Amino acid sequence: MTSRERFLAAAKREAPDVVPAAPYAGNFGATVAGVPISQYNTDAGRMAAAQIRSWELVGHDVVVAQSDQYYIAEGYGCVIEQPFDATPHLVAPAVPGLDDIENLKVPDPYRDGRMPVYLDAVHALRSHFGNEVAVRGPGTGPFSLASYLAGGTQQFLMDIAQAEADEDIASQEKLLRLMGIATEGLIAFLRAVLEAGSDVAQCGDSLASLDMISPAIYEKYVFPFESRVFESIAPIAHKKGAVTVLHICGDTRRILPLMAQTGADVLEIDTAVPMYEAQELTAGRTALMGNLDPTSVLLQGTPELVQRTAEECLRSTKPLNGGVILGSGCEVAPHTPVENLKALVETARTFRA
Amino acid sequence: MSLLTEISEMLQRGKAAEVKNLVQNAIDEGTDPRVILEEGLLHGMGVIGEKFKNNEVYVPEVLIAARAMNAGSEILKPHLADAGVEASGTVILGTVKGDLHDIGKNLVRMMMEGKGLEVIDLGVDVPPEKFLEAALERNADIIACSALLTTTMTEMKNVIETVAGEGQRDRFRIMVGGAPVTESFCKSVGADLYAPDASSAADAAAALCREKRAG
Repeated sequence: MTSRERFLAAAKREAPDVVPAAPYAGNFGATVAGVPISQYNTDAGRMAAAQIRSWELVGHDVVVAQSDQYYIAEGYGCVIEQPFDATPHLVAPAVPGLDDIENLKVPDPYRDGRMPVYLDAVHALRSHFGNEVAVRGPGTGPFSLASYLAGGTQQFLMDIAQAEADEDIASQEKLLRLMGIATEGLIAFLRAVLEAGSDVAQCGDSLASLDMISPAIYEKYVFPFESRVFESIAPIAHKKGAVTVLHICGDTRRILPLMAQTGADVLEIDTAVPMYEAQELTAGRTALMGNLDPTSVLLQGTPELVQRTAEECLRSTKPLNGGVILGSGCEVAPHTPVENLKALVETARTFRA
Repeated sequence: MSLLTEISEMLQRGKAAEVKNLVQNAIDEGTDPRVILEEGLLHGMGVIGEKFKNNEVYVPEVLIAARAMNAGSEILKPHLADAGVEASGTVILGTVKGDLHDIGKNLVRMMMEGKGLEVIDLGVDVPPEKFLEAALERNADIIACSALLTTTMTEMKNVIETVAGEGQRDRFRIMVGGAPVTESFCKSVGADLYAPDASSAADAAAALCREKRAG
């Protein structure tokens, strides 16, 4: 099997030849290739070149055209500031608050924000790697995306809490409407990213973490919209042989059964949830990807620690039956030692049940 | 229900306007501002902090509770000053250089204020020298650094080195926290204390200040 075939087989819960290795290494690619992050995420050619360089050094199965969270949001009119060699941050939302959401227009992925950069990078990586290596395009999850649009993240979270505490139905409806507007933008982008040749259509919904919101808020404000994304995107992805991924950071145990019902093919599991527990909680409905600790294992650890942790993870999950991809719990930190990522790949390649 | 209990309960439900009115009523009734602070506002924030630690409430609920506390504090502040009430410790707080995330840091501030500490919030993208400068100027007890990103948490080391480089390491306790930060990371950069969540950070800071001031 090629890397791409191996990843796609495991993601579809079919048996791979060896365990696929897919650390989420976007900005790591930039730093390891010596490209400043502000150039990496604004220049498709440099993004693709950096990912190719990082693959030459590490040899993982999936390259990722990923850097930041705002390329779709900017298409709605959000304003960011771009430091020279760090990920950008939001300086102004698209509209001031919930009362203005009808002014939001769903952007065109081929024209608006920095979406074209990511689409072109995906296309370049697909052209370069053909069937050899899988290409993972990004996709800001609907809850995270909505939080940038109307007033910014903190205000968005307070609006939700206040609407719930006051049982203010009118505000709750506006919030759900805002979620719908964000969902449409994500769906448009994911169609385009699949068209560009991505093997993955993903929702990376970091804000939907239980480090931030309650399971009740997840169920009411997030789950229906993540489900809507996969309902419209999965048929397109599957027709192209691609798969869908849902990533939520942190300890998701209390919502994993729901996450498994969103229709995502793969759930990306963070370090806080042991992989075998994630398998139990999702009852084999989805494939799982994860979950080495990006800080204490990958960034600060040694190749020996990486190997030991990865082996423990794999021994507990029967990965050669399919449905398990060895990865990082969250984004791999820039300046993570290359040797540690190589140890991750090596452990996956040599693991026998 | 007593007025103070009502303040606490309305605060827990994030009802800012109600808290403001109730605090004013309590002042008008002649209640000691220290009692309004302790048994009304801080009590309410304490309950929220505990519930947050136990995953009974989450970030959005804490944010609106804190907003309600601030609304009450605004009314109460001049009366506390008149009564000569002082903070039990001073914390310099900020998100490290290169990191613009402030929700977690704001939560820490709210929880610390809910413990009666004075918090000097330097905001986001704070360079190491500014942490030190503010700590010296305010004669602070604690410097607390926040980072959300794996890309920026390494900046915490620079804060500690800057403080140590000026020969001030023993004078301040240094706390670190934020999503990617761990106990082992805290040790590796030479910080004094790691807290896994905002509520624990506030408890730990209050305890550190008590110890430090006790000698």
